[in-house]
Amino acid sequence: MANGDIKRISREPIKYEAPAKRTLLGFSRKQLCIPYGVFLACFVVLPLLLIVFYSFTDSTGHISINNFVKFFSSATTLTTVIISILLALATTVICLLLAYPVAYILARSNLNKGGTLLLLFIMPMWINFVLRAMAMKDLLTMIGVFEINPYLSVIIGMVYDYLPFMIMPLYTVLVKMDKSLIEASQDLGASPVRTFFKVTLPLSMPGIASGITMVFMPTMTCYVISDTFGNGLITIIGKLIDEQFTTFQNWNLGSAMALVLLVIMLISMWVTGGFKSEDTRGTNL
Amino acid sequence: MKKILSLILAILMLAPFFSLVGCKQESDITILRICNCEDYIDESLIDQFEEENPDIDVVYSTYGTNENLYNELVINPNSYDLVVPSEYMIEKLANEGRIQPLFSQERDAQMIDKLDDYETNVSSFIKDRLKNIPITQGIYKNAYNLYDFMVGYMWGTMGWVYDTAIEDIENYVSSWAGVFNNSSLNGKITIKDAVRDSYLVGLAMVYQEELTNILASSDDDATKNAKITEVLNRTDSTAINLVGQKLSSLKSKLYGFEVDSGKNDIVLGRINAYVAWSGDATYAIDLACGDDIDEDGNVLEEDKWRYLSYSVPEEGSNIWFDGFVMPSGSTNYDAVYKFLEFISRPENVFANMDYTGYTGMVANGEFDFTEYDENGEEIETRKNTTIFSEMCNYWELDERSYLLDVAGLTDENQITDAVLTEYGYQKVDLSYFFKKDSQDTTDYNVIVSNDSYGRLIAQYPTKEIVDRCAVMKYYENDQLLAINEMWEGVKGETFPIGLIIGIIVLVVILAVVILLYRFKDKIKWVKINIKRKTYAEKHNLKLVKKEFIK
Repeated sequence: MANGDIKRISREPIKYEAPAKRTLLGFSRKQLCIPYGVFLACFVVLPLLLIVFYSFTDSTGHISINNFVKFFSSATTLTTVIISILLALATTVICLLLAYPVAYILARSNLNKGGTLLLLFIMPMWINFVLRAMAMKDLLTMIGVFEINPYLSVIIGMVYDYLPFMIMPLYTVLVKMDKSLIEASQDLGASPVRTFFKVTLPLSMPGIASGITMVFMPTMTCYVISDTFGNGLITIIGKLIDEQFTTFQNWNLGSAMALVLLVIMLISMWVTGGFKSEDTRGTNL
Repeated sequence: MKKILSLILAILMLAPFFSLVGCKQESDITILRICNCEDYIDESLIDQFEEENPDIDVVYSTYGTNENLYNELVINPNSYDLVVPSEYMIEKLANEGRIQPLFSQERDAQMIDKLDDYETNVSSFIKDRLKNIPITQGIYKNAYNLYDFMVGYMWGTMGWVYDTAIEDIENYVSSWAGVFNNSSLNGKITIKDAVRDSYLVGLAMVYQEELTNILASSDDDATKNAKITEVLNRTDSTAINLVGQKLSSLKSKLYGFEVDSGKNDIVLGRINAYVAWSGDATYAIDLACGDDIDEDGNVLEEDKWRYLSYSVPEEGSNIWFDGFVMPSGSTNYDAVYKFLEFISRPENVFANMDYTGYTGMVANGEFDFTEYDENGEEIETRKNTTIFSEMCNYWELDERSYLLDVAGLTDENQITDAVLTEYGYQKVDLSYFFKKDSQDTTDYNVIVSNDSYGRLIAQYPTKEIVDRCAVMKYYENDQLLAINEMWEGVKGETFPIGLIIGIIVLVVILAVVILLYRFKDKIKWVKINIKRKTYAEKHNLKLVKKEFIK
């Protein structure tokens, strides 16, 4: 007991009876996982390894870091990366600002019984996004947005396409939130604004985090939208990688770019992951 | 019960596989795998071919760009039996030994005999141009030329498609640079989002003076063409740099870069001029004045019609040839030669031209043609007609009957040069393309109004135009790398360096703030620990280590 030792209470471990083995058509759970495991190995792990291999070799197959040197020494690629990040950031912020009130109203509204209103917001996602992009572009051209600035029309296009991905996780978090906490805050005399910033917002952090991941990452590479809305005047990193593989025939540099992009993605995931907790489960679409 | 039911269902789901296996064993069906550009063939012809050859099953697929196709052939040389790349890609594939010559001594004479009709009917102009391109590397070095490797499909030029409603636009589209010098066209032009095409446009602008001088010189046509080909194939670093600067300077004057949307944009009036391949040009011209239906099957209303035209700039342009080639991995000779014979029949070439708007390389050969009206009812069947005469009659590219009406003449012999100029018509001689041999005395002159001239040359350019058009060679790897880098620079944004640094600093600050927020508990704990440590040292106490509990 001396010297501040922490007293440990040892308990007999409780023995649980193993549940009866569940089977499906005579296959155990482990066996049922095998097809997916094989799929994962063939179409996720192997390609990733190939990307790593390609990015650290030159066209003759010798090991080299030239691809990365080229990537980080070229002003064009660096500006492209920065532009992609900026576009993605702008899209994410605008999406968040638009989606939060919508999700909040949807979660609180009595009109949304059975998720009817939510359906109206999510329904556009069922239509192919290239079609949506084309239609939206025609609309923007009619209004004359493109003539103002191609960047503006690209951001509008991206926000338009990715807004549902932000609404959905926010809505899920907000609708699951315990209303008694808000009532408690109001009982204790907090103003509605204070309640929002002290209770609702912190509790919806997991939804915000997963919304950001779901919007930020795809917008960095979704060059169909930047091509359609920017008339090819705006190049983002995804387009650059695509061109390396298809037109420029430089798979090694393309792989290196993909790897750098992967690292950026991992960093952004790690950063947003800081806000996550177990509550995030199921908030993704 | 449930188990039995699921077993039955499982067996039912497997049934299609069994039936497929059975099918294959029953009969000897050869599978012919063809890969072509999108929308580049009248697909009903494939059904017709399968009907004619019940033992051949055609698997038809499409590719996006020549480079995509190349990638597929590199990965698997036996992925297709027939593919349709452009001439530069055919040259590259042949140099690398990835395709096999179709006209080769190694092949059975019986096979090559199937292509006899193609050899007699293909235009001598095309034949000469293709035979002029030798294979310079690899296993086929010097033994073969480009003609031996391909059965020609479509060919064409590259130029401006423009809206004739814009004042004086004819004067600007007569050169590559002119369009950009006209300030009223700023933001109303697109160029191709394809490095080879835009590189050529850049070259022609950079070396405009040199090209004009070559054309004005007194050399013969072949020498001029060789010189122009040299200029338009320059890939030294000075040329690449100059083209890069030129293209970057044009960017602010563009509506955008496009590959496919140009024809729609010009029909809808978003742009006034765009760089187009000739077949796309015919399509756009027909679509814009309601002669053709769009993808939804609608004919444009008359008040929305636009009168477009096509022009190949004076300083020269690109001439391209697409053809069927056989990858080295394929051994499906019988089906391949049968298909090549089928697709080169003049009636099928005509059907494909009618469908795609591009121009076939087959010029001669007689066939029967039945014309139908909109309701699918037969109007007339013309026996032993030719592509040239159907082009004049069915496509109405020859307008001499209109001229006779307008001028009030009765006999074609009355059409003199004076009559032509008076009524705004001109005579275009296409014998360079259609003339079979020196004995052929057919009149291959076409009479068109000045307004329709652009439409005609989009399909059949004049001798003068093809003489100033160069075949582009494929680029060697290091040239390609340099050109691609230049193109990346053109396409990418050039940001002021100060702004970049500012943004990086901003991002770093943001990251630090986020990280501080994320690890605020840990940081707090570290601080407390430091405090405890100093306190303990000060008072000479023993420190008990405590774990961080979140």
